[in-house]
Parts: sequence; C-alpha cells; structure tokens
Amino acid sequence: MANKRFGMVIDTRRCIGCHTCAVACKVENNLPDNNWWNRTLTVGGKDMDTPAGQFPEVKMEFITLACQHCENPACVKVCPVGATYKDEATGIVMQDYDKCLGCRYCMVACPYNGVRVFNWEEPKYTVGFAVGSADVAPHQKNVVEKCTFCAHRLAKGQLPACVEACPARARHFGDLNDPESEVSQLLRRRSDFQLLAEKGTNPSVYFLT
Amino acid sequence: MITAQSQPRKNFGLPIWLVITGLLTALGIAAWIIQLIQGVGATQLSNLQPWGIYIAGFIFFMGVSAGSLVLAALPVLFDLPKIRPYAKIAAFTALVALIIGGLFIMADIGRPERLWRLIANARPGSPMLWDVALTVVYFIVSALYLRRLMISDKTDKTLKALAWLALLAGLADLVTGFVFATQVSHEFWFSAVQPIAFFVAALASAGAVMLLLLIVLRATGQIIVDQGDLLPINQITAIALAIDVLLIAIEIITLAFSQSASALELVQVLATSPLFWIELVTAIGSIVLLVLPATRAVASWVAVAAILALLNLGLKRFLFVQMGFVALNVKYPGATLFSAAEAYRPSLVEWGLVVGLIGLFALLLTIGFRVLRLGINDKA
Repeated sequence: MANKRFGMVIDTRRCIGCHTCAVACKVENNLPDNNWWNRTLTVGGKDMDTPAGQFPEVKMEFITLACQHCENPACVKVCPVGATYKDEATGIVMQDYDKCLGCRYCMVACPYNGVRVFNWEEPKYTVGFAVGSADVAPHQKNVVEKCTFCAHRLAKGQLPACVEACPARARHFGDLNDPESEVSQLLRRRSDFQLLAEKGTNPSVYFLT
Repeated sequence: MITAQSQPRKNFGLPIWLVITGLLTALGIAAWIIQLIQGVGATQLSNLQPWGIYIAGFIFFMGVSAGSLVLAALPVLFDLPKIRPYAKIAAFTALVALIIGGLFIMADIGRPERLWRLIANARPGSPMLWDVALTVVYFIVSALYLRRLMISDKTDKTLKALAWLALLAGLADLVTGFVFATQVSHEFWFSAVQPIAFFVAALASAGAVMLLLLIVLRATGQIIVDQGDLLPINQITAIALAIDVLLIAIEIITLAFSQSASALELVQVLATSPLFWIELVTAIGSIVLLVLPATRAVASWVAVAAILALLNLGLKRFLFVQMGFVALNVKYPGATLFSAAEAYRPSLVEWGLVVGLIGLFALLLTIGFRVLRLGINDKA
C-alpha cells in the first residue's frame, strides 16, 4: 500500500483570524500554559489584528502557523536521538517526548520559528483538571513538543481538532498523495503557496490565495 | 628580557586561588541545581531564541580544546624546540577544556539524565552527533598524547604519530562549525565561512590561554621561561585573530551585497551592536600587542593581549549564537510566545553557571599542574 502524505490546505480567503483553531488545538491537546502549537498570525501591520497601509488603502490577511509537517523536515535531520521523526506511513512529523534530550536543536533547525515549543518548566495548567482528548501523551518538563496533526484523532478516523473547529471552514485535511482527496482537488483548482518554500523543506501545509 | 624568578612569597597565593576557584565552581553547581529544579525556564532563553550563552560557552571551550591540541602537536611535528617543553601543558589544557565544553552541553540540555540516549538512539545524520563523536576522539587523543609526553621528552615515531593524530583532531574543530553552517533557517550561520572561522577562532583562543597560562606558571615559579621564547605562540595567536577579523569583514561584505531584507537586517544589527565593536577593537588591540616589538616580549603586555583576545573570542561566540536568531523567518505578529518579545540577556542562573564552569576550568588546570607536575621543565 502506498504511503500517505497527510497535509492541510488553509484558505486564506476564508480565514477570519478568529483564533478558534488555536484554541481548539490548545484544548484538544491539553496544552500547558504559555504553550501554543498553532497560532493565528496577522499579515498586515506591525501588531496583531492591524492592517498594512494607510486608510482607505488598507490590507489585512491571516495565516495560521503550526508545524508544517515538511516532506523534507530540517528538524528530523538534526535530532541526535531520533526523538523527532517522520512517520513514513502518514508523512506526519512526530515527537517522542520520552526520547527527547531537550537540546532544542530541532527548534533551532526549523525555519518556521515558534512552531516547536519547549516546556521551559513543569507544565502548569490554568484549570485544575485535564481537558481535551485522553489519548494525548502527557506533557513533560524540559522537552520539545509541537502539532501532531492530531495523530491520536486520525487513528480514530477523526479530523484534526483545528480543522473540525474552524467556523469559517477555511481548513481542509487529507492525503496529498491521493489525487482524488479534497486537498488535492483544492490545490488543483486554486492557486496556493507554501511558507518559506525557498528553504527546500516542502511543507505539507498549503495556503490557498 | 629574562624575568624568570621563583617567588617563594606566593605561599598563600595557591590556597587562596584554590578557594576562589572552588567557590566559583560551587556557585556553578548551585546555579545548575536551581535550573534543574525550575527547568530551563530559569534561563532567559525562549521559543524564539532557544540557544544562548551555554552554547556560546560550548563553542568556546571546544575551540580551546581543539586549538590546544594543535599547539601541543606543532612543536613535536615541526622544529620548534623553544615551545616544545610546553606541549604537555597544551595537551593537558585540551583535556580540561574538553571537559568544560561537555559540561556546557550538560548545562544546556533539558534532560541531562537521558544523555545515554545519544548512544542508545544515535542518529548519525545529526551534526550534533558528529560533534559528540569528535568529543570522544578529542578526549582519547589528548589523553594518549599527554600520557606519552609525560613519560618521556624524547621525540620518537610513536610520539610523532600521536602528534599527527592530535593535529588532525584539532583541525576537526571545523565539525563544530557544521552544527551551525548546515542550518538553512539561519542566514548568518548558513555560510561556508563558518567552519574555517570556527577553526581560526579555536586556534586564537588556545594561543591566548597558553600565553596566559605560561605567564602565570612562571609568575608562580612553576616554570622557567624566557618570554621571547614564546614568540611562536604570539605569532600563531595573532595570525589566527587576524584571519578571524578578515572573515568577519568577508561575512559582512557578502551579506551587505545580497540586498535581501534579512541580510541587511543582520548587517544593521551587527553594526549597531556595541558588543560587535568591542569585539573588533579587542581583536585589533590584541594583535597589535602580540606583534609590536616593544610589547611582544613583555610579559605584562602579552598578558593584556591574551586577555583581550579571550574577551574578543568570548564575545564573538556570544554574538554568533545570537545573530542566528535576530532575523526571524516568520515575522508576522500574533499571540505573544512565552517571553519571546524581549531581547536575550542571560539570566543570573546562566551567568552563575558560566562563571562556575570558568572557575572549574581554572581549578582543574591548577590542580592538574600541581599533581601531574606538568609545570616543571628541565629546560633550565
């Protein structure tokens, strides 16, 4: 059976910058305080939610930034112990907390600064109980973690939490190796870009324009 | 210019020195314990700048180790009889510096208790693993070489073979440069110049450490040496520093001509950083003192030159690590990442560890010279 290459297609023309995907991710994965695997970034002015330009000629868009699950991941190449690895069956770049030395070489190597997150202290939570899925691996102090495309949900045949939660229906998920998948069809129909394509990492996250 | 006098008045010097360096080491241990308890969050590192002064310290001491191996090998391989008696001092320095470099990595990683995985789960494709392999090679080579130098002062085939090995191991400091030069994500590091820059900086730092050590060892009556005999080390250090400055110029000129926004940002950050100008001034000051006939054979001036060189190289490594993070690839504003917005300034814990490891370096050298009697040379 051919390997899958799971990927995400995000429609920048539908995204309204509401951060729902970021919050859905945080809840689903029971992320500790100060830890975000997915963030909404403003493509516009200097600050979040500010446009570029002078009124009335202003322009503002959003992209959401999480692990790009690159086909050619810079992080995997540098990890000295294989804690960061690519799951060949799905193309998902995974992180094994138990193996991670906490050297942060992967964070340094990743061109998409901020998508790999380090637990700088013993994970703390705003609420006194765990939230989200019971299937996510417990968070650990002094190791690196990041988006898994909700691998635990995929295993149950569900979509990643961010895709399901997006109220603007801007996020699509599927197998990029399957020409009939929704994501492949979208990429054929619409023009798109990958973040920092010039770095040669070939991300599996595409943005429709 | 012979200033070789044994000074018996230093009776209290040694115990005081041992107490000071011992206390610094204890400070380092305390800082490390705090960091282990609180997490790496006790540093000022962040998700946007995950590496800082520990990595700079690692590069620095790996460099001292590699350069010292080269300095230990040169007099045996080539005809430099005047600095030949100090080969074993250099070989011992290489060993101690290596231990300190390794401890900087221990300080940096979040889960030091998992270090065994570097062997159990080794991924040979990672440049970090090349560095680990190199560390092991350094250790074995410098230990063997030192042992052989201590047994006899005769230069025979075995010693020559070991010296070649030491020279090659020293040259391999280039590999540490590859940890950075292979990073497509960081414009400043991703440069073919870096491995060579690492090597010349390594040589310069080892030369400066050697000069300082020999001056101190003479002042404390452990060796008898004519400052003029150390001129080869002066020259090596000055030449390495000069190439280092040249490489910085090459780096800036090529960046400035690329006209890409991030390259220009890098040039601007460098040019407006006081640390960068201190780096340049200390390098040039050190070179001048090391080559000027009026100062090059005067112990106090050479000591100043060595201190300037070490300051320069420490700053260079600190700036080098930081420069990798100043031009972010994805700059769009969003929810602030934990302590991401501020510029990186090492925390007290980080300074504590750095000072502690430098103290340990001095302590181990002091004890080693006394116990192994490396300082006593039969030249006099």
